[in-house]
Amino acid sequence: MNSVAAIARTDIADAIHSRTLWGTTGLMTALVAISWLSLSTELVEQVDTPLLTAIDSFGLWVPLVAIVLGYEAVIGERESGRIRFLLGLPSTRRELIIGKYLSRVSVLVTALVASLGVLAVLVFVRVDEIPLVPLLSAVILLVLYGLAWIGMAVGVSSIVSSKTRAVAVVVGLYALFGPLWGQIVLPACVRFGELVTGTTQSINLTGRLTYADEPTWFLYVARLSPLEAFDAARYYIRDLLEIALVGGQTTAAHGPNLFGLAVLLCWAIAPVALGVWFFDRVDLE
Amino acid sequence: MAAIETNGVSKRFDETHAVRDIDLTVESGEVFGFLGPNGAGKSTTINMLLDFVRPTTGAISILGVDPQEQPRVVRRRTGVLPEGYAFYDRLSGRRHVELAIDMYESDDDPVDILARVGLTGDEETAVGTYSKGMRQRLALGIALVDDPDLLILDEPSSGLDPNGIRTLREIVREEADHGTTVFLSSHVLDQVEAVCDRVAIMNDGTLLTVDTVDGLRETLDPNSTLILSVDTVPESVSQRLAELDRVDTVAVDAASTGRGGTISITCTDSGVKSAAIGRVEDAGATVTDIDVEDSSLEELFAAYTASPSDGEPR
Repeated sequence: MNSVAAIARTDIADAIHSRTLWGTTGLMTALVAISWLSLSTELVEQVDTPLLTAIDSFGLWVPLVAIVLGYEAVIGERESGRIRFLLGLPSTRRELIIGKYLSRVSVLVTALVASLGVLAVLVFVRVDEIPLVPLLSAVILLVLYGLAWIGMAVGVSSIVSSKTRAVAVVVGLYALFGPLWGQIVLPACVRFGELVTGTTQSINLTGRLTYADEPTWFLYVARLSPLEAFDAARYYIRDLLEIALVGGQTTAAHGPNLFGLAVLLCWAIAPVALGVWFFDRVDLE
Repeated sequence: MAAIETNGVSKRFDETHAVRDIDLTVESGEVFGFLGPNGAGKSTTINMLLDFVRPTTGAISILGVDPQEQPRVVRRRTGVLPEGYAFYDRLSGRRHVELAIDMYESDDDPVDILARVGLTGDEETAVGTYSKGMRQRLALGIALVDDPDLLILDEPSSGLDPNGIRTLREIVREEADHGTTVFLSSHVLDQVEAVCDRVAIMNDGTLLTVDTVDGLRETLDPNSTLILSVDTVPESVSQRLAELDRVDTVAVDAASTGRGGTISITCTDSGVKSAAIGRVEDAGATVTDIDVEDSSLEELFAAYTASPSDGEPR
């Protein structure tokens, strides 16, 4: 584990000097802030917890920061030759990936907490209150969501054979789980469901998904996308925390919502595990 | 126990055989040179020793351990200067050595390591601003961390200036004196000749020969020839030169005695050259130019690697 920590520490020290990282983090913060400030006053007054509405736009931007941070984590080292320096030292390929993953996770978490801090201040200025439990739940959810995307990016980076391919695959995943998910994948699932069951279900697929009337299976399938899982979990995590900390109740169904959280956790771990498996078997020319 | 042992190691990339059936034994404590032209399969072989690349067939043992089974154990006892490496451009040289010290769990002082390779004064500079030679010095320094039992140096002299090459030689000798096995690849034959006990020559993916530097030289013309251009060729010069030990033959080429020309002196030991020049000048000639034809490893190398079917696929 000493090697993992040493690689991670060095990688963080290097990342701190990266302008790209701070540029993307700054951009994410600005975009999230703008989204919040452009919400109409009526809407802000209507919502249950303004902070949890405000973090909604992180759903779109966190993947981009995670991709910037993660896509070259391993393949970049291979292409540059730095991997020869690192693997010449006492370490294993597995330790290298895990060290890189931990480094990128730490940097992303720092960036997310900084962004969320700025957003929380803006929310406070507008609605004059920041309840502690929603803030805590926002941190937890953002970290989990960030982990899911950085896990995907680092996993892809460990498997592909060039940086160009890494970009293509992670951007492809972002397109799949973002725009294509609601426009094509889920409608296709619904049509398929209709064919199988022989019934016609009225699922509202226009715009953002709503989760009121859909059949249960649909709630599960939708949450396979980290974007949907994130969106759906915002209030659920808050409810869970309230139940645990101050007592409360939730109207949300536990099944699909816990499934959504498990999906995020899976995306955080499974691609990296797969990456380790692949990377252990490849020739590093 | 051998420091490096390979048994029938081959590597195929798709259709091409990069390395074929390599049997190599590097004994503990020796300085072993690994020679061959570019594309000979040297790098692929070294990459297999380091477990960067896996052999298609055959077995490798480094310090008694299979590097593919236990890469950590091997790397823990080995110092590596790989080819085609890169550093963290934004971090200092010192930070890199500290990383190595951390990973070796060593108590070496990074300042000492950097001083050994001549980087004193550049410790805190970002490596991105280092010259090629400075990077190579840093890489060499990192290989020395934790006093390894085995040093694997892939083209260590590449990018080094004459000063750096001298430092490299000194370090290789010092390490060897302390019992470290040194395995170094090069196409700069002088380097290998100067420091190695034994040499392997590789070409076209196969090992051509393994021998001592002296042994290799014996298989070829062991002599070196000194060719002196002189303003006049004194009459007594041939006789005077022949009196010297270790001078084999003397050939005089001049339009006529007393006029300018060349004197070719074949020496069985290159140490006799200055004495030979002295004799020529004592005889009353002024030496205007000196040329030496050495039976260097270069010739040896050419003799071994020239293939009759050059340019044709085998």
